[in-house]
Amino acid sequence: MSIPLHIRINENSYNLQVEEDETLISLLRDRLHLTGVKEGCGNGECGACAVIADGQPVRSCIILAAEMEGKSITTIEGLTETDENGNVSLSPIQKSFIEEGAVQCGFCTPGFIIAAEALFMRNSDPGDEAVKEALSGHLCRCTGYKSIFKAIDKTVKNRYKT
Amino acid sequence: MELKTVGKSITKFDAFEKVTGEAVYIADVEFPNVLHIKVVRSSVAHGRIKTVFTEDAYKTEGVRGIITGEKIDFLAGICIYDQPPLAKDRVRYIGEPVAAVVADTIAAAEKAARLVRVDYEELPHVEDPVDAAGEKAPLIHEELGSYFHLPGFNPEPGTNIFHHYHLEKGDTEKGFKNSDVIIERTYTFPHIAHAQIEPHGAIAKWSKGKELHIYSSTQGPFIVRGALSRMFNIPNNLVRVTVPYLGGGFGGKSDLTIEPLTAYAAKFFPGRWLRLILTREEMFFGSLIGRGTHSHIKMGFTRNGKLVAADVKVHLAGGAYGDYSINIVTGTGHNATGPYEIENVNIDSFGVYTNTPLVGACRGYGHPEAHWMTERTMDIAARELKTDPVKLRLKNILKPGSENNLGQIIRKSNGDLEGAIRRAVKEIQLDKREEPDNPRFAAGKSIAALMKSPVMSTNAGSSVIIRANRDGTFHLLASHVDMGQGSVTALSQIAAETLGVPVEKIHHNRGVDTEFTPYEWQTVASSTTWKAGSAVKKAAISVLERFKAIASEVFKTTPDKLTASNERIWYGRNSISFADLAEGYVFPDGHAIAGPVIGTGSIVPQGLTYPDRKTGRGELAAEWTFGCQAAEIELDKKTGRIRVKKFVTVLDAGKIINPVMARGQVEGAVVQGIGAALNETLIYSDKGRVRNSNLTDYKIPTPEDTPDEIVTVFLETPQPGGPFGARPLAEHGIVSVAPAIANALRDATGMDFYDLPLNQDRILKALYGKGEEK
Amino acid sequence: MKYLVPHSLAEASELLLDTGNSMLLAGGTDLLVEKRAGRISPEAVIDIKRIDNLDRITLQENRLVIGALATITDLLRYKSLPEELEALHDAGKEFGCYEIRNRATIAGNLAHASPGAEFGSTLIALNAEAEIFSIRGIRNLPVENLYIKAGKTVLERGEIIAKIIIPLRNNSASSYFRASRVNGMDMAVINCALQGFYDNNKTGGLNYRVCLGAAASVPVRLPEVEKMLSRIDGTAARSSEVFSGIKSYLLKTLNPRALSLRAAPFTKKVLAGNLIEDACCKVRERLIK
Repeated sequence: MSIPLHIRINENSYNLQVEEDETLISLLRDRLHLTGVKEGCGNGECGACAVIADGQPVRSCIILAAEMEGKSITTIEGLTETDENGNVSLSPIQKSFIEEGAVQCGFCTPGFIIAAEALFMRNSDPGDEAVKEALSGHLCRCTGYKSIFKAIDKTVKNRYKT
Repeated sequence: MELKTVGKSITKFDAFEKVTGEAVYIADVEFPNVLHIKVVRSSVAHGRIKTVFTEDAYKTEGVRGIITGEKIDFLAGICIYDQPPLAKDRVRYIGEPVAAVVADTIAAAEKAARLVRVDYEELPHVEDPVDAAGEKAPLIHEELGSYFHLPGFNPEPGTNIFHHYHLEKGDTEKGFKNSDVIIERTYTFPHIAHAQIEPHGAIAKWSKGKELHIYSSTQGPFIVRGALSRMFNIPNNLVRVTVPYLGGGFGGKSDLTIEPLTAYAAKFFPGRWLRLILTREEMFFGSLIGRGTHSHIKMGFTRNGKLVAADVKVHLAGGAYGDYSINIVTGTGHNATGPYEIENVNIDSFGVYTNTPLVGACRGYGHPEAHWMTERTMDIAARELKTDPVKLRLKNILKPGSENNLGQIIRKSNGDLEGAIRRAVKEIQLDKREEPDNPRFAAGKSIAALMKSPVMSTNAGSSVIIRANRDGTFHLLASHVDMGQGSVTALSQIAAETLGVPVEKIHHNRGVDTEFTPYEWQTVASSTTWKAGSAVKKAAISVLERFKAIASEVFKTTPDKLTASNERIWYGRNSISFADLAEGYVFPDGHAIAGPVIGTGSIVPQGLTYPDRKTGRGELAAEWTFGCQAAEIELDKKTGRIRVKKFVTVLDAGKIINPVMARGQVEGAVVQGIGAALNETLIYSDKGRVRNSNLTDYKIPTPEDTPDEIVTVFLETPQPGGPFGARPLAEHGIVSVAPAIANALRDATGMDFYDLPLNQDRILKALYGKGEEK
Repeated sequence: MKYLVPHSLAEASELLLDTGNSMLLAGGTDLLVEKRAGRISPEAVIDIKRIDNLDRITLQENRLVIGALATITDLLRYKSLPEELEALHDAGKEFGCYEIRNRATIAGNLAHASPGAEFGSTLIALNAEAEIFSIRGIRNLPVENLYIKAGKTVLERGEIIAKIIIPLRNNSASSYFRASRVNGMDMAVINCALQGFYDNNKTGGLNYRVCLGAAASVPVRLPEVEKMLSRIDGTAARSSEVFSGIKSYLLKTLNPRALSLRAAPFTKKVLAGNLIEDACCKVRERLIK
């Protein structure tokens, strides 16, 4: 048995058949090979698997693919833009993560960036509390978080300037 | 000479692929025709395997095989060979692999694994290391005496002690007799989890029955290669280990973990890739865990505060197999009395088999365990001696000319411990006190000094290759594993600086492949920048020498008349670019000389020896890093929670190659240390099962738990022999976090704690539990 | 496992009755965790998210009605939350993390019946009722009577929590406090929701409803503590006497599970007293404001 799923992922439309118990993370990683979505715990506890669904960040390991009927998903792979010459441009938050040393092993990074990106989608000028709220369920074992907060602050400041 | 690249915060070379999701980690590696492994694990802490029933499991659709340990006729290991890749006849901890179910899909493997039934004859089990070392304890390895081990280790057959490291200096009996004040305390540091966000994984395939290729998220590809080669009796050059991007190690992916099991199972399916990715739950018992010490310390002081004698006994609960923790035993012994000069010392450090998951390297191992007791005890001693804890430390620290416990003479170049202590005191403003307005809070400040040396094989070698390219760029090939610490970038900076080229002209391999990248012992002990970095410098120099040799033919002179700068080799005012020398120099008439230029660099740590059999002393530490940490905390007496307001780390780490990355290492270590200080502990059931094997029940610090302020200061006394004077620093930020916080807690509340973590249970019991409960 | 998508409550109820071992799927933040852990293995999940109008939060004359599909985020963003129900906001802020709050529903939090559930104790303190739908009929049940034990409610096959109805109470205020091990996402070590209210004509003193979560296998009301709290008269001396009385009463009477992974029984008992004190002070502050 399988069920039909119409879904947009990173601006592409898919008509798929998914298994009833297939999780969203499994669809994204195992079937569509979007391996930037990371599985750190499988329990919704670490945040490495976060994706944006219809503008809201969610944890793809505790969602069934079938629940996403008609939704539009953005994964970390969908944040970069490529021009007609194949040049890749990073989003401001991706750039800040690099510049502020907010990336160490990189395994939690896609989740943090997705959370930050979703934050900016709903709040163009988030204060410290909003930033903390957006990140509170994301775990990083490498950085101690300071550099991640710095990267987000920097993105906010840059946005405000421009 | 002014440095152009070293000392600059170059952004991480591999950050782009990590922020875009391009970076491929072990679970992202895909193969055709892959089979999946699910491990059936022991459900008893100690027992004999009576029967493994696999019939029902075999009936599951998609199952291709179920491998058990019954035919295994070898033991795996590095320092002591004591573990079969799958349990044979006997299980020794809950979680020990008993069978590997191999199936077409992971779902089928999981389903079948649940249907494998194992009958055990249960044996008495023991989790506490002191109990386990006692005479009444159940013997976990009767065959200990027959296990092969490397020199320098000292198992005690007939007991559970797989390694006893003894260190003595002077005469402690006399020392204590001359002491006016003796402080004696017992401390514990529980088992903790590394909790790397990436679960560990390995994927293996055999070809022609004798060639093995394994992908693994290992910190030690050459360690794995060597061990698998020995296990299966195949040549080194037919074992290929590939390491993709690695999502956090902290020691938990060093040495050998899941690779022997994966490779053993794969042997039964030649030509096919067998894939084992641990679940988060399995990361708490199916790989390595950390710490687990019970320590007793006795320190004797003269009335005027001179530390004259120390006696230490440490028992490490090493888990059911000792191979991985054996070096922790020695490391704890080396550091057992902290950064102090003591005339009379007696140290006994025991590695003890326990029926628990396996302890392995864990950020800073040996040092946080040791400093938890020494730095707490120094604070207590200062109180007893009615002196200032800073003064007491300064009076006793190792300084140039001091002899440490190992018999090494400390040199000025080892770093400025006194400066570090004074700086930490200043940064935390130890003399300034502010009482919180609200009486529910108690505020405190304190410091804890630290020292650290890498614990490593005497021949822990590094080698590096630099290839010159026709356009003046270079390839740097090395086999350290960059798991976030930034070694790919730091080593490229060292190469660029030495070659005198912009760092953008260096490309460093991502990931490691023992087929293509040169030997590296393993990426542990904060040793890469210092040790592999020295090899990089040598390799770069050898490239320049080769360039000069070729250019000298062109200029018809000798190499010593030539200089290198601005990416050219100069002879007076004439010069040739590196680019033109890189792949064979071509004269105007077309004829060419020399060939493609390759530089190599190899080193081993200088002068390391095995410990003296009687005293345990010797050249056992290749270098020392000194530092001091300080905490400012606030205790909420109503919740029993500690908030770390400010945390200061001062390290004399020699020349800092990349300040932003170096700071990142320290900040990460500090917060990891705060997790262990405040919350982290594995919780065992009566039966010996880890009960909190997930991130819901094992809480690591979240973004909201980072201190309000983290201050990191580097003193930069150059390290002779370190590249550009660099010294190790990546683990050091974790070493004295717990004692700094506990000392600050004592300052805030007058309460002394000896056991970790300083969680609500401990604090509320101390605050409210008098007469209520024990 | 079957994945079923009803479009009405009636259809959902029928599916529950017709399919053997079936479970409702709303936010999934508990269900999929339990399933992965092997603690449940439903033959069917019935995804009720496509039933219209179930995600509404509406303020009616004297009550707030929360639909079965309203998420924690919906609650936190709800602009017209009456001041006296601020405990709901307090609880929502502590719940999971931002991404979990986007999926998890308040009704699901009740139905999962975790002992430390944020909304278990909160809704009990607020004297809320669950409107329980089934094709056999609708019944209303005080949330207080919903729980049997950890993970188990009195809901029968085919029954669905369709709405949560919270009565508004004049001259009242509420608060929710919890203790946790870390500041970010965590389960409550213990939690406390408290409502303080004057009787209708504000003649007598303050009365209280107090409920603790994670102190036992289900959220527990504390009638004795409520009585003791009502003796507070606003003087510091009396408050301190009452709170110390409550704390020793709790030390004697509470009996939390010995094997909790989050805290020892003694810790929970101490925290319970301290949280009640904090929650009560907050309520009084809110009432006076």
